[in-house]
Amino acid sequence: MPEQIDILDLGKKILNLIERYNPNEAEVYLNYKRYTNVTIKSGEFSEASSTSDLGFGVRVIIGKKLGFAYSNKIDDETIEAVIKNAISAAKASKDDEKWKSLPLPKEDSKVEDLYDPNIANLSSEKIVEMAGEAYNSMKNVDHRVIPIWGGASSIVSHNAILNTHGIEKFDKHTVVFVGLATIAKDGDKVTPYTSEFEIDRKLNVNPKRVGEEVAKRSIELLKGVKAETGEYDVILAQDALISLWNFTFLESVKADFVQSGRSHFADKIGEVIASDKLSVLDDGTYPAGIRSSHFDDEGVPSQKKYIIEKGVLKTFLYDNYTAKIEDRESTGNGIRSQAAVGTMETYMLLPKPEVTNIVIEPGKISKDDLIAEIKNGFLVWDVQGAHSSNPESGEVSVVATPCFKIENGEITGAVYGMMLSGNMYEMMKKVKDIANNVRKSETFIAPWVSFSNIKMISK
Amino acid sequence: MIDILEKGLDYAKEIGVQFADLRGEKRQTTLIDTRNGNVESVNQGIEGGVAIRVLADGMWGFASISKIDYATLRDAIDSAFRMAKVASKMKMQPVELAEVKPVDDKVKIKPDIDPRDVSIEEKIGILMTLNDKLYEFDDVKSCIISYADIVAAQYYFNTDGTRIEQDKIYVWSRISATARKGDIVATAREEVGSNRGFKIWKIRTPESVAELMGKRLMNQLKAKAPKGGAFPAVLGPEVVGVFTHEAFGHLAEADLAVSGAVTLSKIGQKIASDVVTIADDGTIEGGFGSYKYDDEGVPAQKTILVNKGYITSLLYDREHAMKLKRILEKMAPSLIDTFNLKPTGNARAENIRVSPIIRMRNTYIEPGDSSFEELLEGIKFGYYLKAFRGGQANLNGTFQVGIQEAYEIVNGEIGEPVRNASISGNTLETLLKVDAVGKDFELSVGRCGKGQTAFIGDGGPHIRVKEILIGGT
Repeated sequence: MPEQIDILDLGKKILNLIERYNPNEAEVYLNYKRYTNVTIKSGEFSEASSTSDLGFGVRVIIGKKLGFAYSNKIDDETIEAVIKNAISAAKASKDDEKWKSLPLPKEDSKVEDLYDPNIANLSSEKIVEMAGEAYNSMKNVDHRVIPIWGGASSIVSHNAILNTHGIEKFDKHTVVFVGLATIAKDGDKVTPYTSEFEIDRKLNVNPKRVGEEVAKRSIELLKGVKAETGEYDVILAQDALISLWNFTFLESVKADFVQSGRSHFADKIGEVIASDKLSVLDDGTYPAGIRSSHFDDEGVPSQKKYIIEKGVLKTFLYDNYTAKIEDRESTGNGIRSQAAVGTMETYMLLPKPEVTNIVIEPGKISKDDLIAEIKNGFLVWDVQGAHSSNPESGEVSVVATPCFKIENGEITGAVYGMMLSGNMYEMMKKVKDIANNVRKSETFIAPWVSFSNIKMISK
Repeated sequence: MIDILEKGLDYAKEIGVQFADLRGEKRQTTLIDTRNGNVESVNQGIEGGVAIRVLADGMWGFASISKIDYATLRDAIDSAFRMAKVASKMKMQPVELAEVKPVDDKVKIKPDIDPRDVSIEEKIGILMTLNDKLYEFDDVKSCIISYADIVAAQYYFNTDGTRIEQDKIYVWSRISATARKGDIVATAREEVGSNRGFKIWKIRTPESVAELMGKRLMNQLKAKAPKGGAFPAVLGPEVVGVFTHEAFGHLAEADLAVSGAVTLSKIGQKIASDVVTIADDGTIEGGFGSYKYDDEGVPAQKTILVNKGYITSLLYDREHAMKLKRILEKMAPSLIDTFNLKPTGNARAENIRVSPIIRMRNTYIEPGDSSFEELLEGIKFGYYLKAFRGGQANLNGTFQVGIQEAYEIVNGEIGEPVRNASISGNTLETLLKVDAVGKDFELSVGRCGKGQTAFIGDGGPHIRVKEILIGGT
């Protein structure tokens, strides 16, 4: 699919064709994506791929009925069929009494570093080279380290969004990724797996660091130590905290969850819900943030807002639909990412309230000082089983892995199979300290955070 | 489509690939989401494209396109070829493919009822009936339903000479409901699915699904928490299915086995008690994971993974059948003649944007000869675990399965209902503790996630386990 296709022009053509049917409102979303990827699997380079896709989704509103249809075939006959499908879907649907309207046009947010021509023009040779550098750096640290998955990739994505209220927007994005997940094997001993990656909007990733870091950690995981059940000071590294938050706190601040009456925080705006050390933003404008954009997936300008400011709950995350139910403005969180079944492309999906970049304001101390502050506790790198958490109550019960024991301010070894159990909404009140080692992932820009009195259960 | 694919294969041979395959697809999808009686979305999709896989210099290259014409296809073949060549410099062990006999076949499905012939109004009506019937039970607080139907025409052509056209139909729904009474929250989940057409809704009527789920919720509201600890247990077919799939099936996938799953060191050995025979079967009539050919053109078949306690095969695609053979040549040459190393037809791709990987089909324990009463007999105190709520397993062989419907067993009789139980343990240890297998058999509908989503079936008879770790949540 040539990148020269002007998807905004194509969008205008489709919107014009829809208007002949006189729906009350209509919207066209288009996405072009080129994905180049080198995969490492089961210890080996396994596949190199280059895929491209262009598709569009049409939302029409007839009275208070909504219909949606999509395709990745771009020809006159299919476009006509998709429009008819959207209209027939709307006609067959039931009235949505809460429906007010699609978004009205507003000026875009100014956001830096969303597109880097160096990524768009990255050769497949260079991507293979990046994965190779990560792999070789890993092997140079220690031959006992084996990659389970990983690789390097680049994504170039073009979005356009148009609606009958005059929204007409176009944006280009790039993303580059390099990462490895590894185990270490020594005789019969096999460590739990651990991963390291870098992801950015600019060609600014360091494969060598990724390979060395993950290898060193895998080797550290070979040294097992015992631990007792009890309450401890616990540091949650970024992967652990975002996993737990995704299935608890962040679910509970999405407006659709709040409006369905299930959120623990429903009536707590303006109240203290966390330690005053904790400030959390959802920032769709963060420079070079992976989920940053000039506008969200329904054309609303991206925004930066505190969810928690110094422990106080400030706002929920709204898309256009949930915002209008409360007669307020969308917070720019209308994102096309939630598929009911299987893997679906953005153009196949309707926007729903979803996080952009979750940012934790960093503290002043280094990660080593954060560890040094702990007399008896754990550093939890990641967790397994977070999806079994209860977003309504905040209860979590997960396996902490990888997990390191901290004694007198120093890491003494790895602990296997330790469970972390408790209530996330109580834990958030027990923040001990926040480090300054900010790291960026797909939805999370944050440092390590330590918590007091966390229940850890040894097997 | 056919002409373009033929020309594409000619071109691939011309530029000197070792092997290439092309998967063309045209697909129509209808998706409906409802929440508490409101229709949240009605979505109709039309998709198409071609997946291109090329083997060059021992490395896989892949590309996919949504515009189906020869010029676009040729460019994509070039791109996949170049990707493979570039990456092959990093390849340590070149990919080899196990031989399979080329196939020329057209698989036409005559749907019992074509979902495209059913109006959206009627589909919404069924979901609304289910919703309304469920709300007739007291204390039901939410009901979320996702419905999907997919009709696809698929083409698989490769440079070995295989030419397959194959239709696929899926009608699927997931229903999640919660009930609340005071502080007690009960949840129930159910899936309905068929790969033959829309008639499934006449068999599993919305009324009967609502009845099943409503009763399950009501039972849980009055249920008590389980005692934690190791107890004898009888597992119902649904729980046997998810245990067999999650705890054992994934370990038997050859790609995971070579990544370090515990099965690799157990090949040919006894890993379960004598009464346990486990199969992964792509040929069961009506099984949600059944199909005639996989996405490498290999015929689906019944693969016995464990025969009377002994592990006899893993699940393979063409690459991993060969890879495992090479490993056994070094590790245990004596097993090469007895252990199955032929491709089993388990290569499946979710769509044309990805390459096929090893996936299960219908995975189950074979029925034995005990009646349900015989299984309960002699259990002084234990648990009957009837329906599951989710499960997961690790490569090291540990598993955890959440249970949404369970009962105490007291002196060989079914007793009071139990809420929020879970079972966990080591898969192989648990398989060795199975001491009786029922003569009944049931297969359920499910989905499996492994980076890609696949529709699968799983099940078995009732089985008895001497001892299993029961936990609350």
